[in-house]
Amino acid sequence: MKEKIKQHFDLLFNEAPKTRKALDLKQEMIQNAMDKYDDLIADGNSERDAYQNVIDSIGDVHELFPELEEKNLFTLPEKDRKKKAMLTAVAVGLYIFAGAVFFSFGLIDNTSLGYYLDFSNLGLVIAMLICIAPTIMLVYAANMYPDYTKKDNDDMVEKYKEVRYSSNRQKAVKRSISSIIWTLAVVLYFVISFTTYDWHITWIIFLIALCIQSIIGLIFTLKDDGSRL
Amino acid sequence: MSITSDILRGHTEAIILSHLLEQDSYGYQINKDIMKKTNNTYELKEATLYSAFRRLEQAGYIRTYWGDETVGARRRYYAITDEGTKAYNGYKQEWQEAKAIIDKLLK
Repeated sequence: MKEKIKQHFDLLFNEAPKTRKALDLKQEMIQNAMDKYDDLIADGNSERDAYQNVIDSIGDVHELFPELEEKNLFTLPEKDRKKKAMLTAVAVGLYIFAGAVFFSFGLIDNTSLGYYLDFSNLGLVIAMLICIAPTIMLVYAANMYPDYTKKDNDDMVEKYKEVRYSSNRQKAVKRSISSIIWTLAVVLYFVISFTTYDWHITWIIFLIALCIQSIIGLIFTLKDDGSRL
Repeated sequence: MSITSDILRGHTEAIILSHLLEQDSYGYQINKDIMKKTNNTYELKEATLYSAFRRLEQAGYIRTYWGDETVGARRRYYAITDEGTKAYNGYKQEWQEAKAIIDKLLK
């Protein structure tokens, strides 16, 4: 019978918004129903009567649903979903374009200009430069979070969510920046190495990139602390 | 009966506040007490109770916290705030005035 009561609530809350609040409310109401059922059984009612009594005392839960709406942190709104799909599509297109550029440079006769030039290397560098844009787009798309708009009742939960949202946003920006740094580092590494042939020293670019990333991380942390004080 | 329950429904929030004035409580406990006080003649529907909670909470008349039960499920408790107490007193005053008038008129 208790299982049946739970099932009844599952059915009632079928159309409720899928939010934390709704889940909490459902749990709480189930708990009340169970307590009531136990009391009724203890008073000597039959299981059938107790069940019927519990179900009858629930009332119309639909009136509660509008208040349970809240922006879900884990699903993107329609507008952002479209933007995300668009970013991903363009990014994939750019990757293919970069690949095409690389191969077409490989096809050029190395001596076509009259002197020897390694076009396939040049193609690689250009392809990598092209790759910067889609990489940034993908990283940004992967870190997109829905906008959290504060509601009227600014209790602790709302504040917490707002803080979380703004830190999510910062995280997205931070990740985008570090992807830019690393892609640039790779490109610079190849460009400088191929033009100077100083392979023995150019790897230092990666150390510099690491250093820059740490500095940016530090700036973010300091800014974050500053805004919280 | 329908007039009675209409009138009672109109005072759901005051009834809840009155109960919370005595002690902090949770959903079922409040309803159980209402039934006890009315000799099992009146009971709030769960949905009515919770929409009243929501309104009271938004008005700042009650606050909620999680109980620290060691056995069984954790319960959400409801407690009255200072504003809630003020609102309740005003409410009771109004009710007494209304009651006096209706008593005079319905003789």
